[in-house]
Amino acid sequence: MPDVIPVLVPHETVNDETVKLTSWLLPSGEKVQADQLVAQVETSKALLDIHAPADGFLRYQYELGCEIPVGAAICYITAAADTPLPAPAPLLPVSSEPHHAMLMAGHAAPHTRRHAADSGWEPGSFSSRFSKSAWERLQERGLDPAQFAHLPLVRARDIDAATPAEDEGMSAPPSRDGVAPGVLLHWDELSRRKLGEIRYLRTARANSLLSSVTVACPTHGWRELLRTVGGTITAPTPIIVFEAARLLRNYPAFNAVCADGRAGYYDEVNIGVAIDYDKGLFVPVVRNADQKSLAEIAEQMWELMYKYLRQELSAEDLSGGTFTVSDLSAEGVVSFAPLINQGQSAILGVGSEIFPVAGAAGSFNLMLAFDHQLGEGRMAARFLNELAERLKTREGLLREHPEVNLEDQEKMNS
Amino acid sequence: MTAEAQQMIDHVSRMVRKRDVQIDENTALISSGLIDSMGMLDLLVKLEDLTHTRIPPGKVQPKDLDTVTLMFATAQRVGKPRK
Repeated sequence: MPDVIPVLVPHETVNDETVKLTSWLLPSGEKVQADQLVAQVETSKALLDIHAPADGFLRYQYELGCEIPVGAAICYITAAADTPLPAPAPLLPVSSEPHHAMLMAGHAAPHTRRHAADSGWEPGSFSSRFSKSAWERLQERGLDPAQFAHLPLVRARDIDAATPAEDEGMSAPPSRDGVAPGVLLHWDELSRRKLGEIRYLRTARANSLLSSVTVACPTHGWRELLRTVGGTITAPTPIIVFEAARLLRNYPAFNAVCADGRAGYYDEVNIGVAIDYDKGLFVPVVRNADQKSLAEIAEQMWELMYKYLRQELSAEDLSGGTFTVSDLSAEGVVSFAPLINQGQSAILGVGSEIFPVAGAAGSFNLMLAFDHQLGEGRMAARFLNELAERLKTREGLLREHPEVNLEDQEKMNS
Repeated sequence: MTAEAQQMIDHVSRMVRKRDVQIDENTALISSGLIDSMGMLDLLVKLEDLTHTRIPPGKVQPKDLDTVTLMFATAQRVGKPRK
């Protein structure tokens, strides 16, 4: 084992340049074992666990709350408690090369730091680290890096604060363009998570040609059927995920991505399920949903929701989605316009049950927002009608639960 | 009734947000439709906090959380002390 192994901040969310250090699990200098959890960091989307890549001694310098550039060493594993750490070298913005660091797996990540001499900095003139955007602004505005030597980590806002407002207006209050005239207002910074979400969804929107179609699906018999099935299937969502995943095999245009004038069809059907229950909007993913049984999907969704509430969703839980289901039925929403996620071509919205006439059978809306570059309105309508038909006839439920007697259920309903 | 059970009832009452529904230890929450699947998990997390246990979600069925009384019995049965 090398005397010093750097533990790098993983590159898990494309829009993040830095992560926030939220906890050290052990004091610096403590002996650790390979794969032992040593720290947690927060990205714009999730909390990430940082594991030790090898046995040794945990050594770190960052304090809680620090913003650490992606790809930088968050800590070191050393052979001895007093092994000298690398001399603090001035760093460039972190590499944009893909990193595969400690997340869950516990393998050593490549050392991605680059020394100042590589690009003409004077080594030793300062010891600050710069986020990528901070470094770009620094160069853009011709500022001297040494003026930030008092900061361990320099962020874009530090550069903005050091730039006279009249130069570029960066520190000035937001423009009143687009603001209601004659009305006083105050400005609040958007949260890190919200900013990440905006970037994410804007990218998706910029790369797609949004269209949408809605059909109504009857609900009669559902509640009784759900009671019959029991277990963790207490809501229609797992059944919708189950049926939609299978149907997507026949509609590859909705399980795809359009980029550079080409259509990329995913080999896997990984369904993201949007959850927003007072702890922020997250979209954990049920992988290979088209190959899982209804019970397996329901169980996995149950576990993902539990992790969401415990705020324990990992980047792995949130990555790899190829299609999304957003169910707002619990909020009494009849119809809405879901936004397509980045890297996807469609999202299915599920509305709450409506009763056109008191006492009559109810129905709920299925809404498909899709990228018109890959799909078309008629194709979307067929997808939804076929999905509604499957849900209405409970094809999936019957395949999974042949013991359910539909005739008995119908009698119970009538 | 224990203080924890009362806290759970208060929590459920806040979740249900229906003025005409009075929640007590034996009110059916899930089978009656008062609490949905997400709310059910929210109850599980609250139960863990109140009982200082970890309850593996895979070992719990909706019927185990249907009333406040059943919730605490479930925690006693399958909950593991939190480290």
